[in-house]
This record gives sequence, structure tokens and C-alpha cells, in this order.
Amino acid sequence: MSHLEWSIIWRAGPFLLQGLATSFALLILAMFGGIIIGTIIAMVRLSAPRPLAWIAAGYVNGLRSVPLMMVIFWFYLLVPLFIGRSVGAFPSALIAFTMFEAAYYSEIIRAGIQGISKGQMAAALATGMSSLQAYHYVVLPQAFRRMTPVLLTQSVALFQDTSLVYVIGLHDFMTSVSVIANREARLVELYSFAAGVYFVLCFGASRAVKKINDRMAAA
Amino acid sequence: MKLRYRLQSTLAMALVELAMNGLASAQALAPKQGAGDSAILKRILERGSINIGHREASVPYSYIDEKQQVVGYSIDLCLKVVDAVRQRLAKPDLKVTFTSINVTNRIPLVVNGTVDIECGTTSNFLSRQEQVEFSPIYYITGTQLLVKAGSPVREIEDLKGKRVAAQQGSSNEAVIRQLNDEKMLDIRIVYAKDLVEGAMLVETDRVDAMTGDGGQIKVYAATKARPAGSLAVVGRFLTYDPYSAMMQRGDQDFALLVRKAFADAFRSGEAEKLYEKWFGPLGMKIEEDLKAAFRVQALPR
Amino acid sequence: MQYRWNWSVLITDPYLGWLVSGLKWTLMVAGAAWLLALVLGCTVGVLRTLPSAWLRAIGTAYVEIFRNVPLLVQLFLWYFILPELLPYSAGHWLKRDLPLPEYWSAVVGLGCFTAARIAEQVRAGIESIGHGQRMAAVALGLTTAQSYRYVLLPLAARHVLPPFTSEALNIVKNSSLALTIGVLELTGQSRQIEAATFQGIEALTAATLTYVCLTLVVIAVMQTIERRVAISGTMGRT
Repeated sequence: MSHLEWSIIWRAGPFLLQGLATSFALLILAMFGGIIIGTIIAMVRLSAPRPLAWIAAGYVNGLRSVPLMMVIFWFYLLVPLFIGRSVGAFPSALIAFTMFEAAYYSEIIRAGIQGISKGQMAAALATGMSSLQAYHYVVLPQAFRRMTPVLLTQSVALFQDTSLVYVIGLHDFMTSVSVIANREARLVELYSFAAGVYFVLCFGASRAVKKINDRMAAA
Repeated sequence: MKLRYRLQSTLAMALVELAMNGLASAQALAPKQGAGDSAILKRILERGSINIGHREASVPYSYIDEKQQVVGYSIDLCLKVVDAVRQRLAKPDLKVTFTSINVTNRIPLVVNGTVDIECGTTSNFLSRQEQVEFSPIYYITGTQLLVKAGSPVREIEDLKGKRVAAQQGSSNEAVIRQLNDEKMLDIRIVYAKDLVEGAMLVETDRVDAMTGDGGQIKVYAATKARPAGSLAVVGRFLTYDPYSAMMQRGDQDFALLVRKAFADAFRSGEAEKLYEKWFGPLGMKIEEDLKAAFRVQALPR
Repeated sequence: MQYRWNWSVLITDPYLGWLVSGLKWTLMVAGAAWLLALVLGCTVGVLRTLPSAWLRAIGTAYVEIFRNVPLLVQLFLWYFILPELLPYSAGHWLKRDLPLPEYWSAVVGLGCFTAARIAEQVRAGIESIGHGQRMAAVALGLTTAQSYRYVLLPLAARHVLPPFTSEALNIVKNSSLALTIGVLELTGQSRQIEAATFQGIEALTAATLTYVCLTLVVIAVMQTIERRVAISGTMGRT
């Protein structure tokens, strides 16, 4: 423990940055995909015919009950079986993350929609809107305004979760750190460095979320 | 008229047959070209690239170096296979892609066809042959003990009642567990995620020894011990671990191509040169067992 | 796919026993960490709503530190780094004399990580009660401690029940990361079976299904509670 050598991090810089870029790409794509799919699932659960709503609920509860590590692993192994050829680690991790996060986002969005009073929906329908229009013009804009901080907080958690793609050997930031740590046998330096980087990024992000939150509360 | 026609046609057929036989025998002599019946070669041709499964930090067998290139002793041997594939498919510009694998996913990824050939530190066991096909053996080692230099421990029996680290799911761990039961050694096994964490457990005195593949822990002790010389590898081989490359099972054509490429490398002495290239700088000389294995597996063409 | 399926491996001795032992460790890690997280999380959550700026700052610092570093890294720090930073005798005790150091590291790591999330829920629960109640309690002449005991906490409890159950779900799943510091819980045991039999997909399936069963129980409880506390007049489906 006594002779720490930090220069390794400097030398491995490009590799680590590449890993960080992969983490960000995963985060942003999975966030967009997850929120879109999550919104659809939430609407289905609240307003579609019962059997469809049950399927959506089953999907959400099913995915939420399996550790993310397992979901990633399963997608990587099973997707090639369905489409007949391998898709590579990144697309497969992206699909797994999007589907997984969609389940979590849909719960947040559902709670957001539920917080809107029933009168709003009834009023929209009374003006002659279809229920899709009512969601689009009345319910969702209000719900998203309320949910933005929670959605962003979940996304910060998602960013930390990207570290689990090591199970399929995709080089995100955490996996790149552990590759260097193991190759150079410098676990202490590299893991402390990772802790620092994650803290700075996630702390910064959660401060930003708080700012957004305060501004919205003030408005 | 009729008779003559028949005679002519018989003659013609005989000639055709003769020609075809000749062609067939010529074909048998020349090396086969194209993908043929091999599903793996067909998919390589379709993709325009061959996908090698590699380890991330198994120095010097299979790892990512400072220039972010996949390199190592196992990788160099697999590149011999790539050359053979290029020749066979008459595609000298066939691309090579790399997929990183670990102990948990390596067999599923070979089985599901993501990886065409796996070049890491995988021991060739008969039970694994139920799932995958193996190349000839290119490295021989066995379970040994990594201890602090100056430790009184010489053999596994010296560790009675002590703590021993082992990599999760390794064959090393399995043999320690078995010996523990047989000899009632009362060893407490501490599990480590990978070799480096196991070694760190030894260096910080959390355990009295770590078990690992002799070759790998020797490399660690030679290159990573801090200060240099503070770690030692001791003990007899507790297991027999012959390393081979893995590929999908049930493709005899591809398996033969791989066997040929390896036999050529063994026969020509290239394999020994590669060993010298990767292990020489670490101060590790090729052992007699491996030399013998190279000789035995260098089948004539 | 030329995988050779062999489901019987799951019920063969000793592999069935390994799975059961994995389940036992998953429950032991998750259970102990949950208790720690509840106690610590409620304390920190209350700290963050107290009048004293100092206590609030301590609570905030705790939450920000433990929430913003991935659990994987936190477990590593607890297990590998902490004993080296302590004085020699304390570090040595952690490393050699404490039985099952990896288990306790996992419990403390997972507990502290989850406590930060619970603290956030508790704070949000207390803050959602509104300033009026707090003022009313003061007006009644209650001390800070009394106002928390008789007014704020009972009201907040109702708000935080659903997210708490959700955190309980997370702690079960997150306990799978304990394998990275050598606790052979459910995921770890399924990998052991993979290594011993090379029937990895079967072992993973068994582990996955066990997680599903474990968490479905938690979800069922959560939805029952959610239905009970639903406030009429909002868009919730009853």
C-alpha cells in the first residue's frame, strides 16, 4: 500500500477517456429510449384495456425483479439466438439498458401521471379530445414538469449502473479502469481514481438537478 | 445409325467419367479452397472478418497493451490460425475483430457463435469438450501456491488451519476444496474476483497463500511484486492444466484447419520462438513438458 | 446453438446445496444490510430536516458521498482499503481476527449505500408534510424531539412506505455485487456451478428465477400497501 504510483492513470488516459465516452453514449441513448418506451408503458398501464395493462405490468415487475447484471448477460446470450447472428457488445448492452430502464422510468412516469388530478383528464375528454390527445396536450406536459427531477435522479443512478456491463466485456469507464488496474496490478490507485471521477460527475449532476428542482418550485 | 450413336455416347460418357476421376484425385491432393461445409468459415466469409475472443489482463497470454492493442502469446498463436483462414478463403485482407471475454461468458460466447476462436488461458478439460471444441495444447501448467517470500509454506499441507485465497470458479479453487476434504486440512478459502485481487490479499497479509495456475502466478511474482522479489511461487503441481483455444463444436472442417495451423507452428519451431518472445523477458524458460507437447503434436502434413 | 442442455445438474448433489447456500447468503447479506440501512437512513434523513444547519450539513454530506459513487467501487474500498488506513492493530483485527471479513464488508458497504437512498426518501417524506404541521407542533409547545415523535414521523411514514419497499427490492438485487469481494451469494454460487459443470446457462437461469421469486414477493407486498395508501381523487387506478 505504501508506494502508490499515480502516473499510470495519466499514461492510460486515452483508454480511460474512451471508456468514459462509451459510458456516456450508453447513458444518453438508454435514457432517451427508456423514457419513450417508459411513457408508452405507463400510459398502457393506466388507460389501455385491462389485458394489455396486465402485460405491461408483468413486463415492469418482471424486469424490476432481476438484477441488472443478469439482464445484461441474458440479452447478450439470447439476442444472437433470436436473430441468428451476434450483434456485438455495445448494441446488446444498449438494448438491455433501454428495456431495463424503461421499466424503472415507467414507474416514475406512472406516479407522475397519477399525481395529476382526474378532473384534468375528464375536462380534456369533455372538450372532445381523444384520450391520446388528452395525454399529449394536457396530462403528459404537466406530469413531465413534475417528474423531471426524479427522472434525472434515476438517470444519475443509471450512469453508475453502466459499470455493470463488465459482465459482457464492454469497455465502459469502470471496465476500462479495472482492465488497467489488473494489467498494472495497481488496484488501489485506479479504484480510488474511479471513485473520485464518479463522485465529481454524479455530484455535479445531482447539484444541477437540485437547481432545476428549485427553479421549478419557484416558478 | 442407332448403334453408332449409342456407341459414341457410351464412349463419350466413359471419357467424361475418366476426366472427372482425374479431377477428383487432383482435388484431393491440392489444399481445399473456399468455405466448403464449414459453418464457421461460411459465417467468417459472410461477415468479412474473423472474431477472436481475448482476455483483458492475462499478461502475457492474452491482454490489452498500453497502445490498446490485443496482444500476447495465445493471441500470436491464434493469428497463425487467421493466416490459415485467409489462405483457405483466398482473402488476404480478411479483417480481424476482437471481443473481450471473461471466465463467466467465454463458453456461452463460443457456443452461441459470437466468438470464432477463443485465445486466452482456458484449460482443455474433457468435461468442457461436451460444450466446445479445443485446439491442440499450447501451454502446460498446474495449480501452485503464491506466498510471500520468506514464508515457511512449501506445500499445501503446510497450510493446515490457515486462510487461502482462490479465484472464484477456478479449477484451482476446486482442487483446494477437494484436498481440504480429503486431507482434513481445515483451510478457510477466501474468494477473489481475479488474480490481482487474490495477490493483493497475500500482499496485505489477509491470507497465507493464494492458489492459481503456476504459469500465471509466476508471471505475477516476477513482474508485479512490490518490492520486487517479495512474492514466491511454491509447491508441486496440484492439477494438470493444459491450455487450448476454444471454438464451436461440431465443425470438423474448421477444427482440422485449426489443428493444421497449430501443428505447423509446432513443427516449424515458431511456437517455441513465440514462447521465447513473450516469456523470455520475464525470465521464464520453456519447460521440458511443453517442448515434448510441441514435438508430440507436430503431426506431419 | 449447439449448447448441450442438462437441467438435471440443478437438482444434483452438491449443486442444489450450493444454490441453497447461495440463497442463504443473499438473504443474510440483504437482511443485515437492510437493518443497517433503515437505522442509518432514518437518522440521516431526519438530520437533513432539523433546524440546526450543522446537522443538516452532516446529513447532506453523507448522502452526497454515498449516493454518488458506484456500489461496486464502495465495496472495494470497504474491503481492501479501509483496513490499510486504520492503525495496525485495528486493521489486523479486521483482516485476520474478525470472522468472515468479506461478509461484514458487504453488509456495511451495502447498508451505507442504501442508507443514503433511504435518507433521501425520509427527508422527502418529512418535507412533503408541509410547514403548517411543523408550526402547529411548535405552537402546541412540543419540543423538536416531540414534534418529530408525535407529528412529523407518523405522517411521513405513510409517504415513505412505497419507496421503502422499493429499496428493499433493490437491496436484494444489489446484494449480488457482494460476490465481487468474495461472498458466495446466489449469483456467485451460480457461477461456481458454471465453473464446476460448464452448464452455466442452467445455473444462471436458476439464480435468475430465484431472484424473480424473491422480489415478486416484495412487489406483491408493495402493491398491496400502495393500494391501501392511495389517495382518492387522483388518477390512480384502483
